[in-house]
Amino acid sequence: MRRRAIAVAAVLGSVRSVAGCSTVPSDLRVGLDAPNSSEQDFGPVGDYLDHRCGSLDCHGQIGRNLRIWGCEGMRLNAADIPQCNRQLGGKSTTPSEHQTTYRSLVGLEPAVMSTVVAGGGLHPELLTFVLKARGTESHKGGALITPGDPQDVCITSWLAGSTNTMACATAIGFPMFPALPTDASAE
Amino acid sequence: MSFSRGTLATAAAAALTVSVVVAPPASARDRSKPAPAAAHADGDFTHTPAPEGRANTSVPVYVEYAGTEKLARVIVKYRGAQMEEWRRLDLKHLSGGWGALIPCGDVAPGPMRYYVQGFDEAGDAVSTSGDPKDPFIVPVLDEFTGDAPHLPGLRPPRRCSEDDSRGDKGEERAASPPQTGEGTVPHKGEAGLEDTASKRASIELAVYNDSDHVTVVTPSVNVGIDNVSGASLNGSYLVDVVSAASVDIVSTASSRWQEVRQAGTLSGLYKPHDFGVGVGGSVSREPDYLSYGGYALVVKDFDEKNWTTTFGYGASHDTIGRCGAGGACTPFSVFSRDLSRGSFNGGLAFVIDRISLASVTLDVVIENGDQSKPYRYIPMFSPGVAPTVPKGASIDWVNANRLPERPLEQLPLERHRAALTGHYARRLDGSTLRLEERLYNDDWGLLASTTDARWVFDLGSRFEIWPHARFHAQTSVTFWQRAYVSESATGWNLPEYRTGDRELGPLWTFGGGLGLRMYLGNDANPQRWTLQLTWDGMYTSFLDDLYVTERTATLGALTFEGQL
Repeated sequence: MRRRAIAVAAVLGSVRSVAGCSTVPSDLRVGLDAPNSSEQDFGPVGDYLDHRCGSLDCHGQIGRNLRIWGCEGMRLNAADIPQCNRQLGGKSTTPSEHQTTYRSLVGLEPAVMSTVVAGGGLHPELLTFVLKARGTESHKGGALITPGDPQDVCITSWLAGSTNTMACATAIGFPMFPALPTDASAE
Repeated sequence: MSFSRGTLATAAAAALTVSVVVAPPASARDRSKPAPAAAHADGDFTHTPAPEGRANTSVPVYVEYAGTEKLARVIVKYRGAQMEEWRRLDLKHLSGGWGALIPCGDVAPGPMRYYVQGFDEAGDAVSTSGDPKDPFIVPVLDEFTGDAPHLPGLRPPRRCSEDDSRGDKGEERAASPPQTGEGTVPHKGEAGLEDTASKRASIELAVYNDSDHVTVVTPSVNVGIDNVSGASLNGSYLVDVVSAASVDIVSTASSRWQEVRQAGTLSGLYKPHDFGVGVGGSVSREPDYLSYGGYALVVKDFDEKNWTTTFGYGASHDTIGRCGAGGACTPFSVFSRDLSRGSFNGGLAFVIDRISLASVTLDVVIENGDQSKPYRYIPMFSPGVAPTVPKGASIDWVNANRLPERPLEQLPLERHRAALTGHYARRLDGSTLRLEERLYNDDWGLLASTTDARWVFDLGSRFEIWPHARFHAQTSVTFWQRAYVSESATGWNLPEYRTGDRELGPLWTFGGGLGLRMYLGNDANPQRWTLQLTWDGMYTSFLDDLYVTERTATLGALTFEGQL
């Protein structure tokens, strides 16, 4: 019996040694070269994303990999309603909602995001969310932005480290997707 | 979308990419038996050797078999007086038995030695008469002193010309019908011997279904041809039609998807004597995945085929892409990842005794590239929540408690795998027992054991039935976590390696099933047409996972095979 156990151990040992002398560490951590997260830098981007992508039947859902919070869709505080217009009982997107959207967006592809940011934002097309928004990759919402239009500039300028707030403000004027039959952009 | 290949096989089972082609070893014969009598041999076949042969004239070999085994193939291994090695020749199925002509080019004055082996459907030698140390012997003379021997119902073979008797040309002519003069009138039986290749084809329909809402329907076709010179060629083509709404898909708010995968293989082996070489290739294509590869191997027999070794190397390349809504796929030029794979294997098959065979195979696979699933995003939890995540936590629970960041899966960019597999087959009275054990390890830390047993029972001459059992257990890879932690309080601090692939986690699977094979050919050759039905059920317990803790699955296959 002991011989058999030794033989089994020897066989297991030989298979292990062939597979590799060392194994992948279990606890490696990785950081991220992240784009600016301040309210000043990301706030306009977050507002645009909320307007264009964050409706409750798109990325304004808790089950999505890319979650977008904001006054036009999913709210962080359950007491808040998806309404920006204060006269209609709504409330503007909060900094916390911007930050939560930021973490969801930046955390999607940590390695690729680091590459893009470290490269000064020269190659935003490496990011899946940019590819999808441009329609270069299959996207259920279709192609929503065109390279060089205000929406695209809003995003890519943020990735490059200097958010073009004018472009983001203009981008807000693009219709909400999907378009709502009523005026949801008042305020 | 890419169907998780792990659904059908564990990580360990999926590790091996190069098929091991091991020529079936000769069945050992009880060496305590005396040499076979010249007129009528002992062994499993009934055979009366020709009383004499003539130089440059094919030697007929005809055997009959009345045993209980289901023979798929019968061969004669012969060695003429001037031959240094044994040569193999397939016997054709003739009325009431099996027969062939030993090519005239190999028939020289002196003793012609040969023995006969029969193989079952699985390629195992299950019957024999004579062996290398105890063969039948036909004295070959310059001229016949009596009647020329011949196959039943056929004319005696003619003598080859001098030119014919050399090399392969002589072999070709020897198997050809005679043309003029005495014994040269072609007739049906000899014309039938012209085509000495055995051809086979099969079609199969397999259906897989599991409790995670994955269904795979796989029709396939296989064809093969074996030539008496030791050459064989095999090809296959299959289509996987996958429909899935697994928890991995639903958890990302995606809906059921369907896709089709097509795969083809082509392989050849040339093994005229005790040394052979083989090459093969495969290609697999689905909307978001392209894989192609090739392999080469060498096979060498020792000790009169009591030992057979195999060494092979294979290489493959995968291109991993991504598809999206409505099945629209992103061109590989926009998004793709490359995965290259090199595979080495070495095998040793050996005869234990006259009813037992065994083999051991070592496979080593080195993979380079990013094989992370481009669809799989991994939920992150805060340090305070992670320890509270229950095993099998529901989608809703995870969505309500995870952090906003949900990064893509990231696996190490290199993987070294090794597997050691042992096979054992033993012929019992009216049945055959087959056992297999595989030990697997890789440098991701996954250690696995797979045990498989099959006991095939004969039910008369036309039916076989077998129970089948399989048990698999594995540890997780080192970086496996049920709940990964993102240290969001300190900026970005994520686990470098993260996965949601359950086939990389700790699990065990137990399965069992039944198989039934029916031989539908005529009485002379019942195995010409074969219908096979198999059904297996599997239960898997996932020991440390999100979303699911168990999975039940069924796999059934219906196969129809014919010898053409």
